[in-house]
Order: sequence, then structure tokens, then C-alpha cells
Amino acid sequence: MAGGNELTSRITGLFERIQDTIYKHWKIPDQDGEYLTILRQVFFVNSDKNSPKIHFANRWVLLPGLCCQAVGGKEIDADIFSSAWFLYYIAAHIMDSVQDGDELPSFSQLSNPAVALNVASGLFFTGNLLFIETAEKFQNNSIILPLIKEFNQKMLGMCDGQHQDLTTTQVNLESYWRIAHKKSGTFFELACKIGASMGTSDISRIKLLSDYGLHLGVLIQILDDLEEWNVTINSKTRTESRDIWKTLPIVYALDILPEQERDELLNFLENNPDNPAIWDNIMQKIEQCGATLFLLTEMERYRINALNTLNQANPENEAGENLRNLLESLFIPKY
Amino acid sequence: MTLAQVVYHLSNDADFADQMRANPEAALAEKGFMLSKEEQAFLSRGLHRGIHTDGSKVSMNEVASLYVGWR
Repeated sequence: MAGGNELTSRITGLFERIQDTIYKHWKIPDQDGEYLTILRQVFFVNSDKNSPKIHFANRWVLLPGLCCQAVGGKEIDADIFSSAWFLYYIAAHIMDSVQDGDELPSFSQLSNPAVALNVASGLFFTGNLLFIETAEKFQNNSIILPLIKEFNQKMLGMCDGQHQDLTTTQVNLESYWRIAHKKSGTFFELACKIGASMGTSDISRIKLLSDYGLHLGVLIQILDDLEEWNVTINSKTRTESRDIWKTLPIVYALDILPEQERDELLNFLENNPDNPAIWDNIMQKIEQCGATLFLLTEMERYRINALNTLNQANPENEAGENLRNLLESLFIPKY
Repeated sequence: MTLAQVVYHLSNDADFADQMRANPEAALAEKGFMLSKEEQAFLSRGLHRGIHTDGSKVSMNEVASLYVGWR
């Protein structure tokens, strides 16, 4: 993993810095101790001072600080925004898992969807408290308040994207990319934008780093699709295989195949997906229509676009290298 | 959508695939496809990633299996 040790070391440092800031809000007198304990467990799972095993999955928390540093600011200046964004990241991930019917973590009763949703709500509200704290702390509210407003507006846009994702039955490539940009793309764009905005007032550099985040976020959505693909392929019963309908390989195939073949694929997907022979037919159609090449090509599109916008932002050396390493951590070199 | 169409034809039209290897600009023009230089570069890299060292095609399941627990 390119730069993995350096990134892990940075995650450790960041969590040590922000721990007290978060804990402060989770030590409210007269609140039910169990709920606040669950919030702490969810946020600091594998990263508490008392259990200092840092999970590499937490690496996205570095984005605001690195983008701040990349444009000449101090990483530490983005700490509260990093904390808030990461709270939203965990909360969104929990809600997404509940809404998609995915497996939830087994600790702290999170496997109960109702509990999980309530935990996610607590994380969102804690994120809001951190934003308010940031606005109070910084004297120059002409920068902070518009950022907080934009953050909430774009989060609302993400919810709209999620609604489209949940309710649209016929996804095509155009709607796939629109939803991917609106959901995952926007969220990572925000992480980079708030970080860069804390380090510079140069609008063009902020825009370039925001675009880096956008491309990174869409790439992450494609990887989520691959994960969904794996879950479905390796599942003994594929009766829930409708989730796979919205993954990039299937969306591409249904959009590009001639009418007769598309109807055949739809028929395969709709009728008895638990039948292994039918699934073989689906896989055959996916390979024949070039879905793998299309997916790999689109991954390259978002990777190259992310690298190009990052380079154009002329990032400070160390932060730039770490942002490149974050991107490359998504690419496994050999099949 | 054009990139998707080019990928589909590359995967289903051996003559077009041969022409693309020999002269991409001419092959695209003959079919009436318009790909930007950037898109041609993405496709070139996708093609490179989509082939094993022995020349066989990488499958979707192979790609997906690499991303089990990718986070």
C-alpha cells in the first residue's frame, strides 16, 4: 500500500487530537450513559486511546486536513471540520446500510436497524454541534458560515440523490452517474472543499481540490458496486439480487445491449435468480457485452481526473503526496 | 454514452477491435464515434488493466474479488 504507514500514522495523530473535542459532547449530564457509550464506540472503534489499533478504513478522515495543508494551511486548522465530516461519514454509512438492507456491525446492538438509525441521528447532531463550535471559535465568520451553509445544502442534495437511488427502478447510465455524483461524489468533494477553504482564499485552488474529492468519491461509489457484486455472487440465495441491478456492470449492460438481448438479461434477473444456471447466463452476458472493460475504463477516468486536478492545484509536497497515496490506496496493482 | 458504445463494439466486433489497435482515429471515424483524446487515454488504460499477462481477459468476478472488504 503506497504510503500506508505514513497515512496510518497521520490517522493516529488526528484521532488523538480530536478525541477530546468529540468526547466533550458525549459526556452530557443526565443523558443516558448507554447511548453515549455506543456513540463513542461507533466513532472510535479501533481508534480509542485505550485501544490504539487504527483501522485503515478511517483514512478518509484525513482529507480536510491534507487539503488544508496542500494549499499552505496547517492541517490542525481543519481538525474540527475533519471531525464533523467524519461523523457525517459514519452516520451516512450506517443509514445507507440500513436502507439497502446490508449487514450491520454486530457490536453495540447496531445490528438492530432501529438502534442503528438512532445512532446515526446522534452522529449527525454531534456533527452539527461541532459546526456551531467552529463558527463560534473563528472570528472570521464570513468564511465559516457560508461553508457550513453549503455543507448542509449539499447534504440535502445527497439525500435527494439517495431518494432517487432508492426509488428509481429503471436506472440507466445517465441516471447512474448523476446519482453517483450527487451522493458519494458530493460528499468527498465537501471534505476537500472545507479543508482547502481553511487554508487559502484562492478560489481556483479550492475548486481544483474540491474536484479531486468529487472524482475520488465517484471512484469509491464504483468500488462499492464491486463489493455489492461480490456479496451477490457469493450469496447462496440471490433473491435479494435486486441490489445488483443498480451496480455499474448491470446498468451498463441494460443500457448498451440490443433490445432482444436486454430483454433476455432482464428476464434472467427477474426470474428465479437463485438458479445457478440462470446466473451463469447473466455472467456470460455481462462478459460478452464488455462490462468489465467499461468498468475498468471508468475507474481510470476518475483516477486520472483526480490526479490531474490534484496536480493542477499545485499542492504542497508532503500533503500532495499523501493525497496521491489516498487515491492510489484504491488501486490494487495485479489481478 | 459514446464511450459505452465504443466499448460494446470493441467487445463484439472483431474487425473494429483490430482497426482500433491499428489506427484508433480512423476506426472511430468510420463508425461515426467521437471520443476525446482524454477518453481514448482512459480506454487505453482500461484495456491494459483488462488483460492478463497471458493475453486472456480479466473477468468481472476477478476484478470484484479484489475489492472484498476494500475499505
